[in-house]
Amino acid sequence: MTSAMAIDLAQRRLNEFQKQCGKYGKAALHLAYHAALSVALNAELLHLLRINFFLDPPEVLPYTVEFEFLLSPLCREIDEGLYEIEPEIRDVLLAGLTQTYDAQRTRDIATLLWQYIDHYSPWADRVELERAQQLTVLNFLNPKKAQQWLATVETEVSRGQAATREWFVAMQEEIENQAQFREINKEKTRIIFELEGVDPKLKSAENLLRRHSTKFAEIASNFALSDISDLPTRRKTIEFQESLDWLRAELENYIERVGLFLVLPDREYLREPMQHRSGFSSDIYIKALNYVKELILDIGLEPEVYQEIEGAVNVLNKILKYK
Amino acid sequence: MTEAPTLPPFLWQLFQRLRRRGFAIGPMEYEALRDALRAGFGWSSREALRDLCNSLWAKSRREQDVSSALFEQLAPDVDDWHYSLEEADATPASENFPTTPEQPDLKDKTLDESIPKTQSRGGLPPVSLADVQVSERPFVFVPQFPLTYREVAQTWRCLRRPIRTGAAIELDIEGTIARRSRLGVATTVVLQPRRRNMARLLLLVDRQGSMDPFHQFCDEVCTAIQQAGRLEETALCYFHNVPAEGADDQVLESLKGQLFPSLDPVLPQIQPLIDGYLYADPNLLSPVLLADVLQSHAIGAAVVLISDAGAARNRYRVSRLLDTIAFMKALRTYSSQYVWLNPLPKQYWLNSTAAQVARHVPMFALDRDGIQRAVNVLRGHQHIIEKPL
Repeated sequence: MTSAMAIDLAQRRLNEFQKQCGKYGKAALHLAYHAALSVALNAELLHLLRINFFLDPPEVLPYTVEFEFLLSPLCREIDEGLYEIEPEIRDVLLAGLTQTYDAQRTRDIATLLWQYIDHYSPWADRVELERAQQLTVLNFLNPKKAQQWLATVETEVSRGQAATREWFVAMQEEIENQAQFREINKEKTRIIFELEGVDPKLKSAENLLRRHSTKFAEIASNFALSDISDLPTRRKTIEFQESLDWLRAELENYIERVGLFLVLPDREYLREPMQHRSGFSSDIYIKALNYVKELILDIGLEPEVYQEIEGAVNVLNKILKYK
Repeated sequence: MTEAPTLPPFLWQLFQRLRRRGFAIGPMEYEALRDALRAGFGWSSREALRDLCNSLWAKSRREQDVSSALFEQLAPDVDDWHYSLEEADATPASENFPTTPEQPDLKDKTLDESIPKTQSRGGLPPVSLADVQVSERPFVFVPQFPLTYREVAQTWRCLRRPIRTGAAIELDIEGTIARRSRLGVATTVVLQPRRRNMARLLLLVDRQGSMDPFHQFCDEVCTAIQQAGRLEETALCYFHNVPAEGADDQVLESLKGQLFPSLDPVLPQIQPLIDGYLYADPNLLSPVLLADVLQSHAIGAAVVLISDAGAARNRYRVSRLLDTIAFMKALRTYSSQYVWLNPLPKQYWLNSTAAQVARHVPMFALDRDGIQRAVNVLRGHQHIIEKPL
């Protein structure tokens, strides 16, 4: 089977799984993205992934998704209570993970896996599996260090002091695969999106936006409430509220269409004020909207959307005058 | 009167998340936090507020672990910790109450713990995460099942068979009055044995195969029943797929040609079956004779089977159904109180062996409503099934 066929088949299986999970399909697939990080998994680890990442909105999954995933054709039981995701499927899932979530999420999952092994020693009687899991974590967190560790082991394996040759070769493949994977990931993404007829950039923006939409609504709401209290008159309050309502609706509209400004490369300065609960600076909004404008121009959306953003910036300017 | 303090917004989020995780908290508990803050508690530091939330909302150590981890996820960073005493118009607890000893910062602890070094094992050198950027997010390691330990314990405590037994140590008021009235003199008081819950329970739990994803959940349920159910005796045995195998399949001859045959026409011909082994341990390594288990623990006891009955793989196997019915017929000769708890919700039983078993045996989903109904059936409440055995 060619590699393109294998990817195609894996994708079809994932679609099937998504369909099987019904209304939870998309979130269930996202859980599968998370599960793909470890080389093998058990029911306990999958449960921890769900309760740490899929118990609160925006993505909420019921308990039953765990058995649906483990007993689905995506996984095969390789030992009592130990499951493996088929390699081709795992590649596609890992691609999905990196496309849908940022690097922080990968770090979160890897750290969770590390802490789980550290606290519960689920594979204490299978040293090679335990090391394989730990090395995988290290590889996701710091690929260079993982390579160095493997190089150290290679010497010991050749001296016959460490694990079996087969284990070493398998791990070397895993590390190399992941390195290659990182390289070709972008290209794969492009191909998949081309097949689907979607601009990869836009798709990526949409994905990111969906993740942050709840946060955004919350910020918009905090912003509105904190500012209204500063206004001196009732008339102004009403006018201000109307503007804000409109603005909020518009911005939520953009989120649905385009993606939140958190996508942007220099998002750090946007993240910082979000942590302040006391309010949200309007200057930041304007900067953010300008960024969205640039992004839209870059991607090339319809002129109507562009005009709407212009309108939103004007409203913000108005709001600033009240202040 | 002191004005109610404005709670930091993340506390509402924390409250909601805890409720989502089955914490028994409501508006009263949220109000209790507000009252405590108004009284000056929890203002001295981030840790003080975390401990206050734990004290008010967490009812066990496990809940405390969950609450602490979620608090650390949601609470703003130390640098951004800007809730002010003036804003809330409250007096800090530290001024009025003795200062609590310095609490270790959970975040630092988590960080320290997340950068360990493994031991050299099996000739493989340790893997270290030193100098590697790891996530600082605190994680929850306490499982969150559809049923909490408390819910299981509370429900199973309703399974009662109170009988006066043992030494006479409790005052019998009516007996004393009757005796004194009868004799006409002040005699010594009449004592009677104390009432004890003599309800006995036999748990038969399916293990391995399609039950693997439910092991932890089933273990949690069984542990809660054993530890907190307050029953006279709780015996626990395990099986794989069906408790007894090898029912006479001659009865299926007349059903040949049907793809998914129902056993209704041959139901009276199925003979009770107690041949086979159960296991005393969850790894199915210590076999015990099924007949012995039933003889020792099932007579007059409530019997609960926990199994997906083929629903997890959504399969219909007539041989499994036959064995199950044959076993249930045998079980009826030992006890008339039995129920089946299925870890899968009812919508998953459709088109599988489970749907057929549920026509003959009271089967409930292993959730709050399901176990309440199961306990009611064990207490003698009526439950209508389509085709009783």
